[in-house]
This record gives sequence, C-alpha cells and structure tokens, in this order.
Amino acid sequence: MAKFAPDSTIDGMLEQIALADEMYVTDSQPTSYADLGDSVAVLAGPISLTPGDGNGDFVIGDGDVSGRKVTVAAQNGATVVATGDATHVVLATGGSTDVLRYVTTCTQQTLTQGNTVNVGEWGVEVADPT
Amino acid sequence: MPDQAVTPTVSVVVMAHPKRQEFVPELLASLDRDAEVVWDQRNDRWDTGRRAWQAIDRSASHGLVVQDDAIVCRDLVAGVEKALAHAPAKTPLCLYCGRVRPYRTLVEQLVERADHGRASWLTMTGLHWGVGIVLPVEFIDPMIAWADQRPDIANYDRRISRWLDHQGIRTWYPWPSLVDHRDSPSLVPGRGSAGRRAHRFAGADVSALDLRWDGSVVTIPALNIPEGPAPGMKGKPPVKFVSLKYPNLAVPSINVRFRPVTTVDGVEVGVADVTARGAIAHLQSPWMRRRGVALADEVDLEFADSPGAGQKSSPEPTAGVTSPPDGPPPAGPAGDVLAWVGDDPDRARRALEAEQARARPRTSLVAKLGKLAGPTTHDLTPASVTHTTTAAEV
Repeated sequence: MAKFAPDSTIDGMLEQIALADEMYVTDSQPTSYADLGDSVAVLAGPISLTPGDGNGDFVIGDGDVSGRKVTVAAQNGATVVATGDATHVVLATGGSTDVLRYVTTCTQQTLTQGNTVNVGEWGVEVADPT
Repeated sequence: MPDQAVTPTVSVVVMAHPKRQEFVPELLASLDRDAEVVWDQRNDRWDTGRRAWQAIDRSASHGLVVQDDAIVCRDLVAGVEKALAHAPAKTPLCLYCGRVRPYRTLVEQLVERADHGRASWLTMTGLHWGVGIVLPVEFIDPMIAWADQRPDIANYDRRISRWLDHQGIRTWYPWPSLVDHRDSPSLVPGRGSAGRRAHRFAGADVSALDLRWDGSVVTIPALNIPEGPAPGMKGKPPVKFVSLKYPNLAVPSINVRFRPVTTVDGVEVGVADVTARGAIAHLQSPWMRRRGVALADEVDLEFADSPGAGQKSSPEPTAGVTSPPDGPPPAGPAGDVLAWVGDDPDRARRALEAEQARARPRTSLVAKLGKLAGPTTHDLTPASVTHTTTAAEV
C-alpha cells in the first residue's frame, strides 16, 4: 500500500496560484497584499497576468520529478517603477479582491527606475506524497 | 488647450446594493443631476455594473457610473464635464485614487515632484477603483461585450480595466479626486473598510467647478503597456510624432523613445512612430504638447531620409541624419566623458559600460550616464519551488 494523492487534489493548490492576475517584483517578502507598496517596496508591477490554467500565463501539468506543477510564463518589458534590490517575485489577485497568491525569491539584482525588467519563466511543483 | 472635439456632456447612473440602500438618498441628493439607480438583483457586481452602463443616456458624450458608497464633491457632474475638456478625447476617467494599493508611495513621490505639487491629473494604465468611473459612451457596448466573456474576472472595475488594457487606453485620474468612499465596509468578501479612502479628496463641500484642470499631468509608470497596435488597429500605419524641443525625448511609461533626425533645413528634432492607442493619446495630451511634442502632420518640417523618419518628400537620400558615434569614450575626467556623450544615448551606454568596467567606477558619473543612456533591461530569474508532501506515519 502506498500513499497517494490524485492529480486533482494537488491541482487544487496550483489552481489557487494560477488565479493570480498580477505579478510584482519587490525588495522583500510580503505576507499580505496590503504589504505591497507599504512595508514592501514594489520595484516593478503590477504586471498583468491572464489567470487560469492554459489561458496564457499559467500551465498546470505533470511535475518534473513527480506530482504536479504550475509553470508561470516569462513576463518581459515591465517598467521598473522604483530603484532597489529585487529579491522576491510575487503573484497576487488585485482589483477589489487583493489576495496574495504566492511569493518566490529571485537572484538579487539592483533595478533602476525607468528601466525595464524581464522576469523569467518559473514554476511551483508539488511532489507526490512519499 | 481643450482636446475634446465637442463640449463634453455627462449622463450619470448610480449602481447600488440593497445592503447599502440607506446611502442612496443622500448620494442622489448630493448629485447635481438626476440619476437613475440600478440595483443589484442577484449579488453580482458585474451584472449590476453592466446594467448601470447600459442605463447611460447615449445622447451624452460620456457616462458616469457612481457606486452607492460614494461621497461626492459639489457640482460633480458639471465639474466632470469641465475637467473632460482638458483631457484628451476618448479618455476614461477614474474619479477616485485610493491609498491602499501599491501606488501609495509612488503617487506621493511623483505628485510632489511634478510641478511642485500643482498637478491636475494622474494617468496610469489600468482603472483601479470602481467607485466613480467615466467612459466615453462609444466605449460602453464594446466594453460590455468583451467583459461579458470574462467571468473569470470577478471584479466589476477589474473587468473594465482589463478591457481598457486590451485597447491600450490609459486612464486619467483627476487630482484631487472628485469622489471618496464612505467609511463603510466593502461588500467584497474579505475586505474591510480600512484604508478605503481617497489619497486626496477634493472635499464634499468643495465645488468641482472651482477646481483647475490645466495643471500638469503626472504619469504613474506602474504598468507595462502591451506592445503593438491595439485591437481594432491591426494593419493601420503607425502615427508619427515629432519632439521639437528634445530630439532624444524618452517617455518610458508608454515605451516611446524619439530618434534624433535633422531636417533638410538643419534643425534637429526627434521623431517616433507610435502604434499603441494609449501611447498615441498620451502624446497628444496638453502636457506633452507643452513639452514640444506634436503630430508630424501638424508641423511644417521636411526630413532627410532615414529609417522610419517622416519623409514629406526628398526622394534622394540626403545627409543630415545624426551620425553614429565613432571611437571609444575618453578615459579622462568626468567632464570630458559627458562632453563626448552630449545627449546621445548610444554614446552614453558605451561610456557607461567603460565606466563600470573601471576598478572604481565614479558613482555620480555612472548616475548621469545612466540617465542619458535611457532605459536598459534587467533580467530576473525567479526561483522555481518544489513542495514535498511527505506523509508522517504515526
């Protein structure tokens, strides 16, 4: 007998991530949407994303190792709105919803206001239970 | 200079939810025009919003939909009509600019920097608050048709914003805001009332007719604008603009950079071919006109041939286009480097690379060269993450 999680169960988490319609590049880690632009400096964004699996910016599929994975498409040409050291990339749902979806780190780099930034493709994988 | 072809007229509708019906009589009394009230029928913000927009009188030039929890300044509708006369034609207005979003610090910094705080407008891509929205009436039907197909976007204001993004249209925000939120909780699940206040509200006792709209326009460069022509403009030729004062003018917020070109009369101006509808509207704003930006067709200039330049005639290639820089940048004092660079972005980039390659780059020179070089692109690499779901056995 082995532990087992159906794909649909794992996809539940990944689909929540794929609901994001905004991406931000920040100088530290937010813990809520309200942190953005307040205690956490927004260096680029909001970069508009198209939410939902297969709609353009998110693809949910099999994981590289096991389980499932959501891949977030690269976003190119976003305007750097403030100078600072980029350390985190944030997914969120904005509008009147204001929900933080996911935060990852990035290789630290100093961004300069007025420049543009390309955010490479990345992903979140949830492995099968072992 | 008014950009509107006709005197703007505004039809106003209130969208309301039964949970906040006690606010509605006061709101109606504070408006300077009669307004129809469109009630929420099934707790569906988009359904209410679309019916409100459909209720706009199409004989007006613009529609204004106000939400039930709005506090408005006096003479709101007449003031909006006055304000619209100072905005580019076919421009949406968002009458409220809030404080809780990521723009908080940015708005404060840019408004203070611009014209010593004497700004009349903010512009940004995206329409971020739905409490008071003004749209040209011809936007209403295509906006609804598009937004009806996007049930994945729950928010009323976000659907409208997304449509504007798709059209490449920037939103203008009157500064100060003409509308504020009541101190009441949002009806959106999970949101309270904290921070739902305008960044700077004109005031409920202030007449919108007493405000001036000929101050500076502050561009909030917070969003990336989609590249290329907007839907419906596919295949149309780009619109050519000239920058008469600043040949190397760059407008990063709309991704436009002018190229220096010399006319056959020896005058150096900047030219740019622009396709994005929002960028075209921005470059025709009064603010840009004051900076010397004009449609190429409006000025009597004849350009020497160059790739992308706006040739009026001159079938034979002629000299006069700015030559590419030659030779390495000087290695001497900062003044020599800056003199060699002039206002040429290419030379600035080359000088910047050379300076940064030094063992001890001169900080102030790097900063100056960075400004002259204009935008560069950073490449970020986010970390991919793997969650391992190890089941603990007990």
